Amino acid sequence: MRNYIIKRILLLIPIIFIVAVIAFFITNLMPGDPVRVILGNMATESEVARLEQTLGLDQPLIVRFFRWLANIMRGDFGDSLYLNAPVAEVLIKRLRPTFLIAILAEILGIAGGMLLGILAAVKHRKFLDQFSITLSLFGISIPSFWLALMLMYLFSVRLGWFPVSGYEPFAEAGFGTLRYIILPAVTLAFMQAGLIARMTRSAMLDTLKQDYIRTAKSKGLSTKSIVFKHALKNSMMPVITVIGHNFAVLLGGTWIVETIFVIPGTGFMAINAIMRRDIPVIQASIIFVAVIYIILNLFVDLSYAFLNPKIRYN
Amino acid sequence: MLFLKRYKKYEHPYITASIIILIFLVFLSLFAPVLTDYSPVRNNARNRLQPPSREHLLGTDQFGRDIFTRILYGIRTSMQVGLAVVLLTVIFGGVVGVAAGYYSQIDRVVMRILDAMMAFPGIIIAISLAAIWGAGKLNIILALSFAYFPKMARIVRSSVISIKDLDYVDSARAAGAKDSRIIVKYILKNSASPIMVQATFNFALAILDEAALSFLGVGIMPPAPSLGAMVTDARTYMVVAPWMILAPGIMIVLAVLSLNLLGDGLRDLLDPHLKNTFQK
Amino acid sequence: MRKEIKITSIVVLVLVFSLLLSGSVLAQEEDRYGGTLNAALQMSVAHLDSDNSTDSMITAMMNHVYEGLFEFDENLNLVPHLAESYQVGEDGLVYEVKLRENVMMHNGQTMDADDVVASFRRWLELNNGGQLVAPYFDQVEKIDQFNVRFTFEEAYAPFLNILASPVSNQKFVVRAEEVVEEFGSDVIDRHVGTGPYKYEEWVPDQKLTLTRFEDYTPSSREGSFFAGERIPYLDKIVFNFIPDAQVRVSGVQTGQFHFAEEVPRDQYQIFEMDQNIKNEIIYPDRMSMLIFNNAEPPFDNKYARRAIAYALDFEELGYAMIGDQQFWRLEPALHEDGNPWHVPDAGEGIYGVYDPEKAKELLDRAGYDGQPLVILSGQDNQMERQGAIAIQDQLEKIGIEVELQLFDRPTVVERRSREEGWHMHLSPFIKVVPDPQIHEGWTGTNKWISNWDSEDSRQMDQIFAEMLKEVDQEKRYEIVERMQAELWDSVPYFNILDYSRLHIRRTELKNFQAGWQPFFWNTYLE
Repeated sequence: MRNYIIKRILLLIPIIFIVAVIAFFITNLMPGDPVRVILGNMATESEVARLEQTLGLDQPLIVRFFRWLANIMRGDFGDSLYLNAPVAEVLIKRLRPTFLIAILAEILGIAGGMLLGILAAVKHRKFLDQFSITLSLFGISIPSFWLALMLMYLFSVRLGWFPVSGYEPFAEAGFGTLRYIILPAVTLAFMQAGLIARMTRSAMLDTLKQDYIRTAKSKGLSTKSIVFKHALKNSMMPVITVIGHNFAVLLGGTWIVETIFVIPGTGFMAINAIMRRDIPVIQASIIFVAVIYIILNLFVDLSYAFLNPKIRYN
Repeated sequence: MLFLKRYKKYEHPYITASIIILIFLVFLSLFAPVLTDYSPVRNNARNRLQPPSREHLLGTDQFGRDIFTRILYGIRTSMQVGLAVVLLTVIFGGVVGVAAGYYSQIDRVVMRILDAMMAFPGIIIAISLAAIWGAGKLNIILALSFAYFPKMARIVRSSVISIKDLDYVDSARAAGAKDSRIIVKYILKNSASPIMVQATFNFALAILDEAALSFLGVGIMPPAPSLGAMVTDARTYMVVAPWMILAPGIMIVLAVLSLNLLGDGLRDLLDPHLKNTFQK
Repeated sequence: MRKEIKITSIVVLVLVFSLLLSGSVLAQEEDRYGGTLNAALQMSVAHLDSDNSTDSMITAMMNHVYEGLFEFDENLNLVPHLAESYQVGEDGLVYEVKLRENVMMHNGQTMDADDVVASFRRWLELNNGGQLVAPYFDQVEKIDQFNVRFTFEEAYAPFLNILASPVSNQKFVVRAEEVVEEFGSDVIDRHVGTGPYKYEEWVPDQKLTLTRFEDYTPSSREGSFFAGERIPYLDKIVFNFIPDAQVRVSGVQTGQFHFAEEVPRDQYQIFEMDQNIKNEIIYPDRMSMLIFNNAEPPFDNKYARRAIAYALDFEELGYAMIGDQQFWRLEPALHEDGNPWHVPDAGEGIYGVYDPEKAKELLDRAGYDGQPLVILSGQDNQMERQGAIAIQDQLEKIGIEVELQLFDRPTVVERRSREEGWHMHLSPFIKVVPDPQIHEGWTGTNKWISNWDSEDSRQMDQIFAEMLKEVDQEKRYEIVERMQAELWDSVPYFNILDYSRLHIRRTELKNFQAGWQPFFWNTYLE
């Protein structure tokens, strides 16, 4: 087992390297000149040249790549061109709202998704099954930006239950923070719930057909205990995989949702950075999401290996 | 075709429903010029923000353009983008997947690169690339294809691997068949089902993501109609002209939903592992 | 005797009553103090150093922290502010400015000539207002602690107007000498000024917080817009950066913000019905400028440029790019009606004359080969985005092929700075211009973005050179008339129309004045 873990971790090195290469070249080939954006509309050529030099943007691309790579190995993503602070520091500062939203969305998504999935599997081919299939299909088919606007219009503008936008940190607002993150989280939870419901349903259906379930049934165990004690437990693996795979997608979703609700998290920061070519911030944001994806999937794979030793040898 | 045979055999309401919706949408987009007298781009600003009426079924937008017309042409844009993305994804993903699956020498390297690319959520890659290349139909088609093809390549690869060592492929090889012949005759033919299922989901995703990119202003270049961009416009007028925001959103949902339904249906039909789940 | 008592008692009563009254007035005055104002601004800024950027938003916010030697009042009259008085030498070469004494700065020291001299040198070197002045300027010197002398090499008539300029970042403001020395030409991030509010915290992309400066020394002149007495009633001012218009609106509707900048004009009626909200239409505010790339065919030829003016239906453009008619006005002159520099007959025969046939004739005359014309504009500004789409539509209707390039701000700024690759660009210009000389910054040979370099542009340079030296108001007005005539003859750019932004505020925010930049001294919360 230990060898397997070490092997898996070593395998991450080339992947993270390629991630870094992609992130760097995508961002540096962007058209648009950050220097002119910073200086504003009527900047003169001499002002532009001066700032370019200060920021080191006058060096060749390849030189900048290796310098940058050496720096990020040390955890230094450079300074934001716009926010007057090191990127790593800014990113960490903005993690909290993003994670709060993502985790709340994930909890809501798991709760809603599993509930729907189990209902569908237990009432297979009955009305509740159809209902939950349709609902989960809606979950994965509604564009999040549109859903966000609809929720905002209904619950904030019309009913006034939640603030329209903005954010107050936990330290200042206590549980009041929830008021700001509920709508963004619900928006994102829709898609998660859809995905999880679909996976739960098919995994449960698979399990319910297994011989040992039939045995349990024939022994006269109640449906409830079959579903929750045996079937659910054995259907968890694929569900966990879906959750692991899609958490990064969820973080990607925060890019749009945070922008709409004006929440000062990493997603809002990333979109802003793209719109004004704050290259170090874009790089760090992309790498951040990718690394989370990689780590979560490592955990998923390891838990597979842990539960099913055969995998280790493949 | 396998698909049609099975379709007859197991009556399946979802597929039927989704195909009806899709035919309807394709009809709307193909016959847009016949279905409306208005142009999707010509302005008539003195007539702006009109509520729905007999002349303008869904009202007009801030340039006085007929929203119903723009929706018809917007679906057309969605369909074009979706179709093009699917074609490119199948081609790129297919080539890379077959190469990696069939030639184990390059498998490792290709897989590592694909793994790394899949670490980025598609929408993030697409936003970044679309921002690099600038708005425009071609650019977002390329950006979305680039974002989706790794997953397609992996699916093709695993299907190739599961097929290439089967007895009948081995015997063909032993009989002296060339690689290209084996790939075309046996492997591609047998990978068709997973490719088709994945392609359908990609189609849905492409429509969804095109709308999202256009919503963020890095998608279709105005004034060309895009459902996503219509939502952006409508957002400003949400309070004074609520008719602007509902219709494009519902159209996106309809298109994506029907494609997802179709994908589910196809998977149930074509995937032998799941087949029995609806056999009862 | 009795009568006297009566009179005395009446006098006493009146005295007591008036005392009570004044007491209650005083109490009312006292009541105004306190509270935190939340304002929602459209765009975030890169930093807060006005000398190092052309972003007008920086000046708008930092007006609360820094003050100028001179400031403009409501009627665009120049009023000494940190200056007590000034004298101009007869030849127009020497300006002697006497400063107000005992003006406290945020570092606890009094402002004196050293602060002014240090700030001025930095302004002259870095600020693009300063750069307009620099070629004619000789030196600035301290006469004594509260007197400063500015000397020019050549007469420069608009000097004081530029010092107080409301355009972009041009205004000269006084910073503490120590800060100027510490940062030099680098971006300042420690702010020590004389204003009624001092810098507390800036969270990039989110908010700027200012707190009342308790030792503020107001001017004794009557308050009017940026000039005169400023009273800091509010404890704190928080500027929130909210890029989405609908979010700014909803924030005001729900009471989260007291003020929102640039909200959708089409929602005017809705705000009108809301008892808690007051509309503020800014006048004269902005011009929508159509700028040609004068370096590239076909617009290197003035007939082609004129053709576009004939090809466009300006009124239809007004509806498409701005919306409701109360927010825009057709106006051919660079200065609005009522401004002393307004030229009423500017652009006669060409402005607002919709004549597509003539446009095609002129284009033929210019040798236009039918290549698609590229309109380059920003996505983030409604006027630019919708204007570009509407112009494309109108030109295509008369058979001119147009390629629309709408990009995010960085890409627009970069492409526009090139000499090729674009033909037309829409840009919002600030209409509130106190002196016609300021147009020199973008009007003339190779001035801002129009790439204009021809016989005509040099003729324009000549006009501005004359304007610069002319101190006689009437003669200067004649020069401005010639400038306007030349502008409509060679058309390096032209003003499609004037338009107003719509701001909204909560009714509990009292005493608000709708200036060209929002300001919150003298306002209070009820």
